[in-house]
Amino acid sequence: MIQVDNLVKRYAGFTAIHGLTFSVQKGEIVGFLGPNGAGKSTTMRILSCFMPATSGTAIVAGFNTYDQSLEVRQRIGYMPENVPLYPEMRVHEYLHFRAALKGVPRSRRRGQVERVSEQCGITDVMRKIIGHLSKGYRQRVGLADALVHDPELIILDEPTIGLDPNQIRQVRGLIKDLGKSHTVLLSTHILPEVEMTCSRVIIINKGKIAASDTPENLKRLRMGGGETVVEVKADAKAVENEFRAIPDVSQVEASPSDGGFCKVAIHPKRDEDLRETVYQIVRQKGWGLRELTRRRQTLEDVFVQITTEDD
Amino acid sequence: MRNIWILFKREMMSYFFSPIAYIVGVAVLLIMGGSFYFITYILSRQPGDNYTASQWFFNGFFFWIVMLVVPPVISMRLFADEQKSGTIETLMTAPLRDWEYVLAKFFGACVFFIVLWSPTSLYVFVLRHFSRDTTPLDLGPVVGGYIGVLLVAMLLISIGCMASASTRNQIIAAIIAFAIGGSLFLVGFGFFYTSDKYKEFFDYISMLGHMLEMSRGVLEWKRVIFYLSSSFFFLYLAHCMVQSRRWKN
Ligand SMILES: Nc1ncnc2c1ncn2[C@@H]1O[C@H](COP(=O)(O)OP(=O)(O)O)[C@@H](O)[C@H]1O
Ligand SMILES: [Mg+2]
Repeated sequence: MIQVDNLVKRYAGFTAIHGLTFSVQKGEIVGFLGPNGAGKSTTMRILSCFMPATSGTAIVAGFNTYDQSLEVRQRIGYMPENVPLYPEMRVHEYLHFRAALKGVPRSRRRGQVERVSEQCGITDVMRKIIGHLSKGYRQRVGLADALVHDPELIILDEPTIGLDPNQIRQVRGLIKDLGKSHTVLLSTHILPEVEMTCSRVIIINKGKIAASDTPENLKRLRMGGGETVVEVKADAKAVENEFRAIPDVSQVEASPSDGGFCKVAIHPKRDEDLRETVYQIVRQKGWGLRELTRRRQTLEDVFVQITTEDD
Repeated sequence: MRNIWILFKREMMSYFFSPIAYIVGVAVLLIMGGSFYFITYILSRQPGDNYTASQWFFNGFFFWIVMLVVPPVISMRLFADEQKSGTIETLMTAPLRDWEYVLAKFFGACVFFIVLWSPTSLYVFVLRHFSRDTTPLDLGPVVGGYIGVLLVAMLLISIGCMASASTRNQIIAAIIAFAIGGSLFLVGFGFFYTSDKYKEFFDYISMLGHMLEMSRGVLEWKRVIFYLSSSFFFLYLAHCMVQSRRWKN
């Protein structure tokens, strides 16, 4: 669906993206993740034919974004960052206008507008003036616009920015639904977002791709699994020494806790679950035990690690 | 073509929601009404001048103020506003061609200009109604005057389109458009200050000369061609500016 090869974009004297290469297959929901200024919007603007790349090629839905831009634009639904809309129009007027502009035949326009307004939960504001809508509704009007011509590919630039947690949940649900019948490329700098909605994540930093994989694989590959945390009633020094003796352990940190307990964090060398081994030792020693967990890693740890690696 | 119509409709709608449009509309009616009253007053006191009423109306000081100020004001927001609010991004990623965008904006402003001016045509009938003149009304000068106005407006609006496409600031767009249109108007006065050799050229581009002829009911094709082709030229520049976004740098 998307084939990007060595894409470079230079703004007057400043290179925003340096040679991006990636592809997105039909049916995927791909998250474009990166800190502010990473080049996410720039890439999406090139893919949606708003502006050309300085060099490199981007093929979207089988057409070149540079010289077949009209064909590309017929097949994509793009929602820009901050969702620009015409404040003086009513929601239904706007959606009809956009449907017409995107070539939805007159006979199907009403049906399409109805369908996307239900999908995006804006049926109760259809007669309102866009300028009077709340941010959450405006976001959803933008989303409805991106969907109104039933595009093959949906490109959403920061679809949940500025929404409250409730609205974010709704929009995420909607994106997941869309993913069942569309290819979706979305950008975000919020990590849980990609973890929850995307089948694949492309981490981009300073205009370069830092990593690209499923959220699960990224978590596993980059950090070699999370540490085991155990809280036992014993002397911290003794506990530390005991756990250091386990093979495959890279690091053990013990710190005293209340009531004669001490809290120990045990880092495995590879992606390994140490809980059972730890339990056996604790039982053998007859220490009192009040916690034994394996800390789950969030993509956030991975993200922070990847995007700060080369500093 | 279909896209032009779709965009044009939206453009007209947004004019009727913009407060500036109403302010301009009222101002045009007041100024032209005042000018009309003034002209009838003068003519009633000293009739038999060399100029006809129609020539007075279409060449007065107020007429030219309105002509030079209104097109920049009604075209300033056309492109600048889309660039500023970011709606250019949703527009240009929809399957429409850049020239369709430019032409829809241009026609929108022209039609709005016609709407602004149409009430002034009532003045003609008012004048006829209250005068004792019983000869059939000579429509030639009136129609000529309005065609002349439309031609000048098209040129000035196309300049306004180019100015608006060059910036995201409406005020700057209006100033640029007014400066170019005003200069073009003033250059026409070169007619009075040059020798025979250049007279023809200055006559050709003089807006004042154009309106004097048109409001006499004389339609000169070379002038019509001048207005149409120079409008086209400025629209082409506006198109280049819109398209410059698509240049690789
Ligand atoms: N029109 C522009 N002119 C100059 N620099 C720009 C322009 N747009 C973006 N940039 C710069 O390019 C970099 C990437 O921007 P952007 O793609 O918007 O990042 P992101 O969307 O990931 O936050 C930023 O450093 C930004 O300042
Ligand atoms: Mg961005």
